[in-house]
Amino acid sequence: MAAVKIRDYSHGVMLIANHLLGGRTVYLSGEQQWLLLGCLQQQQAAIVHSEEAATQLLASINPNDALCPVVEPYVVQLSSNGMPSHSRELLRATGPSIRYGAPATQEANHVSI
Amino acid sequence: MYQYNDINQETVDSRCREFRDQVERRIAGTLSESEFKPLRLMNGLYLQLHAYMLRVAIPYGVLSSSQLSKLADISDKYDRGYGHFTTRQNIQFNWPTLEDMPDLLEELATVQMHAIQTSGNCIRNITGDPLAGVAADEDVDPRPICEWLRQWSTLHPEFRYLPRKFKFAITGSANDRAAIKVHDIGLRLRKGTAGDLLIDLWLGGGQGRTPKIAQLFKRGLKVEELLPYLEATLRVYNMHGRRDNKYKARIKILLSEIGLESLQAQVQEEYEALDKGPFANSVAELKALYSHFALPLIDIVQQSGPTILGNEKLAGHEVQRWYKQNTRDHKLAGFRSVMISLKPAGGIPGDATSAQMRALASIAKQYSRDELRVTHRQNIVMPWVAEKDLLKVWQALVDGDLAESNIDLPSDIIACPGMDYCALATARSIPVAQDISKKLRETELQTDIGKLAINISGCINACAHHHVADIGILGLDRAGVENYQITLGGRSDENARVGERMGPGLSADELPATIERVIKFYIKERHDDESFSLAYDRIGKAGFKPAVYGEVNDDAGVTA
Amino acid sequence: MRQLFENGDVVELSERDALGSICIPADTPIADIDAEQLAQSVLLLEFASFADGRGFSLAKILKRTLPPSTQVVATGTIIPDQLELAWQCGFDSAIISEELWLRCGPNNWRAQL
Repeated sequence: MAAVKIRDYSHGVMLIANHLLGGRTVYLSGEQQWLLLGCLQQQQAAIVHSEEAATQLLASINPNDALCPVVEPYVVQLSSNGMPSHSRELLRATGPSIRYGAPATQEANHVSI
Repeated sequence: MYQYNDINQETVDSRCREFRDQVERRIAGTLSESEFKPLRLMNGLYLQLHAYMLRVAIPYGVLSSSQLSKLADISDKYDRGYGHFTTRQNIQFNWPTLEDMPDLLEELATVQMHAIQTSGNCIRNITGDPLAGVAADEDVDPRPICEWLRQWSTLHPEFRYLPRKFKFAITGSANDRAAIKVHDIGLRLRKGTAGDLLIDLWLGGGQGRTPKIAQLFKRGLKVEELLPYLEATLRVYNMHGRRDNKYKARIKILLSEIGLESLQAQVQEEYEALDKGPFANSVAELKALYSHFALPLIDIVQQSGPTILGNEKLAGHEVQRWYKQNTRDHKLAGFRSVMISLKPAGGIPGDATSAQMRALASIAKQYSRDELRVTHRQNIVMPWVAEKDLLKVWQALVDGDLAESNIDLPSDIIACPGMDYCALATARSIPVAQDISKKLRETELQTDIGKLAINISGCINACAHHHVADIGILGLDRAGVENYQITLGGRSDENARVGERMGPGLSADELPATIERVIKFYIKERHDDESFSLAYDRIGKAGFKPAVYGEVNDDAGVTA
Repeated sequence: MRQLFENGDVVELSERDALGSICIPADTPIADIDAEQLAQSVLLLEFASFADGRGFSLAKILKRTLPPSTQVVATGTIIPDQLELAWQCGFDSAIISEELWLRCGPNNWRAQL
């Protein structure tokens, strides 16, 4: 289990992961759904503000559970605009910063757990 | 080119069936993620920043038209209509799903392709001179040896769980186009005085955070000695390579820790002790491979025709620039190798759309004996084009948006996927390459800059070989902000050496102007047609550094 | 404990050491193996991790130095997919703990024999 290492909780943190079947990056919603990070809507995300809550959130997901729909979950720090604060995680949310071929067809925008 | 025999095909087919079963067990939940992860990696399937990424092996960079067409189909059917050619002469797909993977691999197997050993601590895809078998300057065609080693290393039972990955590169030319001195093992094939094949083995080259140039480890191996000698070398490495720290696990570190003579002695001792029995048939097997790589019997007279340079009607035409920059001398009279740039100014280095892949496959089918090559500089070669067909080939390439005349020029930039795709990256590489190539293309059209390599890596793992470029750029993360270090004076050829770091890193915005300044300084300072690396030798870091940091005036004189 | 053979045989053992054999770590350099150990009729090489392939090279070296009657046996942490490699590198059999046998699944072990 990855440890939670966050510097600043003032704008909250959320949980992101990759969808096992499709591979796409997803975030956990308040409704306990995994939604595509590329369509992030802050009001839907499960956002917590303390290390304790973040640890609990991360511990609630075990990719080794047979029915867990995601892999490689981890916690990311948000900035004041509600987007991930680190450039790497921001790129995960916004997609490659370059042209990247035809858009995916019929991509499901959410994955239930 | 080589065609699979029944055993090769069955090996790949059974691997497809096995992985289908593993994926089904994973989806059903009877295989856990931690058990499944090493299995998917062994089949070339990584999890990257946005999605899975599949790396497909292209052995020593050789592709048939039907294979490239299949890659185009796969990119449309299972991905987003494009693929990315890499410095290991492989291709990567950036958006496949796990669910599709069994079908995708099955389709690949129909054209004798797979993703085995494109990941993991094993012997990776063997790379080679992209002009193998056709280069005018070649001593020995390395392809039969490449294929022989591909077969030896594929699914080798003893070397699947090495301390770290292991990379081979092979050349048969004094002009090294395969960067053999920055590989774990580089082989230089040459002819002995009696015309027999001799092999020089260079060992311990590599890049990453500890760049090393390979040392000459064993000179003049005979062909029958090669496989047992490699087996002995890999066995010593497997037993003694470090496993406590993955950054010290490559054979280059073992070599530097125990020293050249000691490692040579250990390998020699193992070589003498090992059972040569299993290799009894191997030279006969190698000889059988030669028929796959025979020079074509072609009516040379028929191939000759008006050359592009000699044609007065074409004087000053764009096709002449293309001929000079993008075609190379051939072993056969009346032929040229045609190099296709995947680096249009402002484009994404190494990317090809499915339409471009199909165009290339179709042109090669008609004009290049069905064959193409992928270069470690992320371009494509058509190795068998008759002079008389060059104009038609050029026109077809123009129609396919594939005729940028910049091979080996500064805008022919190597770039890794960087942080736009790669989970390991610390900064983006592609947008930086796009900005620089846009900036430089104008200059290089107006000035004869000559051959100059710019390589951009998005992290210290150095997939884009930034250490051994004339101008190397390394992207790092400084407190969440992308920052780029410049190295100058590296080279990856027969005189390979690691470039020198200039000083503090720069922002992405500063790079295009910085690189342009360095190139203008070089042009101003060079003697006649002195190459960048020779000019760097002469002028040195102290001379170049002011150009990097803008401490020079417009005349490239140092301002103080 | 189960002892697995290339011919498909699976023999239940009450304990590994019932064979009366000596077990050495599979990552032992050949120079550190003493004469007494080499004189055993059965020599167990224990893999500390399936990702550490030193045992495959060690088996190759031992099989060419030991008398043909000496049995070299793989044990410790290996995965079913490695049995085929073990046979090819000269191991005569493998001894798997009950825990490993169940965790990787009897069907998966048998499928590799």
